[in-house]
Amino acid sequence: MSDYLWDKKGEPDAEVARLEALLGAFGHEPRTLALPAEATPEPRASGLLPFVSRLRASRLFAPAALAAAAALVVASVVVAFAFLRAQRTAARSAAEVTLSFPPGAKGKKAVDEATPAGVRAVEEKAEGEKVKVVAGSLPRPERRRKDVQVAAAPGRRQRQLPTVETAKGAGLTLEQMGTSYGASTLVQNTRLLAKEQLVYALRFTGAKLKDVQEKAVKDK
Amino acid sequence: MFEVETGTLIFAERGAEAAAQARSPEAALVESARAGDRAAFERLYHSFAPLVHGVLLARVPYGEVSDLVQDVFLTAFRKLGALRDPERFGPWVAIIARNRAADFYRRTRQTEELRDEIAQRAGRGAEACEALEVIRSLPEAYRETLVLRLVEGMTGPEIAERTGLRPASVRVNLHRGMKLLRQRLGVKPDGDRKDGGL
Repeated sequence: MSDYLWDKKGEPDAEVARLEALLGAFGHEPRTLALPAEATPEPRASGLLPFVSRLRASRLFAPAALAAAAALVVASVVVAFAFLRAQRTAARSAAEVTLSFPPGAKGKKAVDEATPAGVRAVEEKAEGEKVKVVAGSLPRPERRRKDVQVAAAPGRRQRQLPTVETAKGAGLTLEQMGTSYGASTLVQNTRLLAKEQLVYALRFTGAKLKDVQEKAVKDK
Repeated sequence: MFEVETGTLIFAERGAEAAAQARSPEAALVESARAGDRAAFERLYHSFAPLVHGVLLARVPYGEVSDLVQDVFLTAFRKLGALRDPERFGPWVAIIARNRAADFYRRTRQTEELRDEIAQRAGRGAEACEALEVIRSLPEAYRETLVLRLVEGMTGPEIAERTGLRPASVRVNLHRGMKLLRQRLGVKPDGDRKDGGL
């Protein structure tokens, strides 16, 4: 290939020269630029505006915005899921639980008495006020604290501990309820008891209504 | 640490001075036009109108090109503040021209283009119109470069400078485009035509 095509130097290529002569008629013809009198250059944008305007001018703006929004939604869901999961795991494997007792209460002793097999007292920071307890696996610290406090209340252990029927039929003492398994089972059993009470109440009401209806029929 | 920072500052100042001295006349015209100097922008227009004309001619009918060139330069004048590097006025205005050509086809019906083409054939000669049509049928990179070279009469280095492309890329586009054009026109490498004409 000759250099003529590149910089018009050297021996002219016959075909290139012919096409130049042929197509030259379509070339630009100088013409006066007609700028409207009111046309003025717009001021230069500063800060983030150039980036935003370039993004808006881009043909990819709509798909890019959609993709970014979708990615944001997916990331939010993933983060929320991970956060909830981590929170649950942390609650289950909580190593330390701080218990508060009113001044004068026999804190450590009560806790020691009420602490079931999975719970072990480790440290007492302020005697009679705060006791640090290392727990095994706990579903929720608040629930566990409440259960332990209930179990630690003086005078309760002397009474016959009530048992709650689990789904499998095995009973749970309050000591067992202090454990993580017991705490969750306690909630389940409470729900079952409430449900049964409701069913009994409905049956009782239904029977009463039936009696009233029969009585009314007999009176007629 | 201080010496290094001072050295960097001196180097930066010298670089800025050198850049100001090495600024092209086009960049100075762009700065003047930004300040509202219409005469400076008209000089830019006369300097870059062939480039814009060629970019548009590679895409739209010949009869529409002159008006579109005016549109492109009017848009460029209004949006001159958006041009970050005054040295790159040519590539920037070429992008505006390409976008304007795309807008033209979005807004115009195909039938209008055909009617325009027939009128042009009558005025300019069928052979030239046919050659232009063959160039327009080439891939975009070859098409634009060949129009700038064969129609607007620009050399390869000028095309590279104005469009912002690398000279090597322009050279490759010119040679490959010309080879493809010869094939489509039915021209043998020695210049003879297969069918005796275009």
